Amino acid sequence: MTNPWALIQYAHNMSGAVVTGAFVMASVGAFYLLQQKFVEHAHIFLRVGVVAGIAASLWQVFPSGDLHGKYMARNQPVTTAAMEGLFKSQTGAPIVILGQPDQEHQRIDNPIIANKVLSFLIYGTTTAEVQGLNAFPKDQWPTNIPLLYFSYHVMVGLGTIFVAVMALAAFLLWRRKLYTNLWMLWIILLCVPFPYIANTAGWLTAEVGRQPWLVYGLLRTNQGYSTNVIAGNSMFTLLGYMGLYLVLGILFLFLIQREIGQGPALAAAGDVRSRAPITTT
Amino acid sequence: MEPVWFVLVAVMIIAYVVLDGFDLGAGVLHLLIARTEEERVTVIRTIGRVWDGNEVWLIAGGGTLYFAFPLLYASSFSGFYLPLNIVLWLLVLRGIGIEFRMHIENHLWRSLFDGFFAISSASLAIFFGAALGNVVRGVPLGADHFFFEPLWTNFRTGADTGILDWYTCGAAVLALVALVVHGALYVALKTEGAVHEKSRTLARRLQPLLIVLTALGVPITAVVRPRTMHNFSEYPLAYVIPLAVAVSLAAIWTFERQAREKVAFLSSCAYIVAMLAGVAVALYPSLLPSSDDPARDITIYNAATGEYALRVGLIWWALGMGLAFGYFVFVYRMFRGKVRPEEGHGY
Repeated sequence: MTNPWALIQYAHNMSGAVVTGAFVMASVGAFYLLQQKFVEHAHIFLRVGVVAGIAASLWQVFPSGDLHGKYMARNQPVTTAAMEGLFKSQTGAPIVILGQPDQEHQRIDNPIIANKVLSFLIYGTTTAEVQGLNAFPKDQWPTNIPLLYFSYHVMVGLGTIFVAVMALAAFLLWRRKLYTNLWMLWIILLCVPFPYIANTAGWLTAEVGRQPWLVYGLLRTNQGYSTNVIAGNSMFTLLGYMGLYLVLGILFLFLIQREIGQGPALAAAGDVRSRAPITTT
Repeated sequence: MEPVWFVLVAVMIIAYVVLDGFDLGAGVLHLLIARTEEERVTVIRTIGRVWDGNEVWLIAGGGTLYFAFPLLYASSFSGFYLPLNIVLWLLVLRGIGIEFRMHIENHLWRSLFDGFFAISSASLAIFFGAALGNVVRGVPLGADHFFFEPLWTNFRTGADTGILDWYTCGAAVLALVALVVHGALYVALKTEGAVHEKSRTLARRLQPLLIVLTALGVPITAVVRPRTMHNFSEYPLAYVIPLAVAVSLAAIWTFERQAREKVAFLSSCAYIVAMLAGVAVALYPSLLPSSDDPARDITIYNAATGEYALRVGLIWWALGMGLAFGYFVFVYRMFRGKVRPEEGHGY
């Protein structure tokens, strides 16, 4: 309860959920508006979605994401180095915007980088030294560096795009041009899967980044598993959960497209009761 | 400190069985007695506001176990790996059944999710009964306090046991009957009209079976695991518990026939509390007994976490459970009284 990280992570998580909700809402509004259906409702959806969306996506980057990054760099520097793809310690460390980590040659291939930005983001000065992977023994490196690097970059990249999209939309909303701007409506409509991807990528970053530890510095993952659960059993249950989630995912898409197709008009006609989504869990 | 946590864990598990017990029972009733759409909606509405709150006690119970007796948690969650995953799947299916059925007005859609709901409820009652049977019978613990049990072997008690043998299957049947009676008394309490009448009839028909199974349960348990009788002969005061079981069974019988629904349901709660308290007394101080060598039992003493953690944990536990209890009181007050088909939304 007194772990500062818990609060930062909670804030980051929850606002991720708000970003998702905001994008879904705005996207449904854009969908209706582009079809010239339920126009009244579409305006409300877009307005609420964009206002909540700009607030939540900004909060997602600053302060919650920013604090998170600073905290990580100070407490688990090896994870930060792997996330950022920083193989060698350096002063005035650059941030990698795009590029593929090449573990064999200990470098980023096809890099697009912004010089000194990483040092600035972590320590507030452009000259500070950031520890790279080479500062740590190999057995403490996260086990799957490319996966960690990519999931982190997908999350951060999408997060940045969310701010850009929502800022543009909010600007148009303020200038009263949002509802008629077809380009913007299309962009909002097509953005709807991305918050889900960003959330999943963020989760992956956290779980892959914690490896090889279950309890950081104390208990390694390969010391913590149940030795008397045989692999076949785990495979069986893993398949079971995958099947269950597949079915749930299909049901989700089916029900959602049905609800969106029916539109909010039915609800307005006084049929709220039997149709209201039941969300108790 | 360890005995305190034994009592706390026991209280939480008992609270879970009493609370989720009636909505599992209601789930079985859902297919058994509710025939029309209106009747089914009525059954779901009796538990609609409370079932997920009730399941919090299971999670909180598991959390408390993990906190207070980590060795037990480690041993039983890997030893019972597959059955616990099946329980989780059933809990998921049951939630899906309740939540999804209302979304589309189509009788095939609704029948499908009614089926999920009822079958998973019945299976959960059966699995929980079998689980309790396993704990009472004991499991083949190794010297390192770990064990593995397949789902079934030769259905005999003794050395090479599975999760299911004739004893645990018997416990499963007893649990199913007890929870269906419990659920029927609850549904009768919360409803009027056809559903009310049918649940009362069902409760009345099952009572003799419940009495017979309960009466058989005690001597059979004493034969399967003589050690369960040790605490009772050591502290004869504990015989209050079987007495309470008998009294509460008689009370269910009498009050149900007098149509005093509330007291009948409370008697059924008392019956479950007394039965499980009996199990707790029979086990103490073991948490998970070994089926062959008492020296290998997981007891509250060898499984407990550090003394300091147990003391500090008491404060956090009280705060957390205080919240849960407050919510429990609030919800049950909000939704007291009978449910009527025409009101409410969602369920």
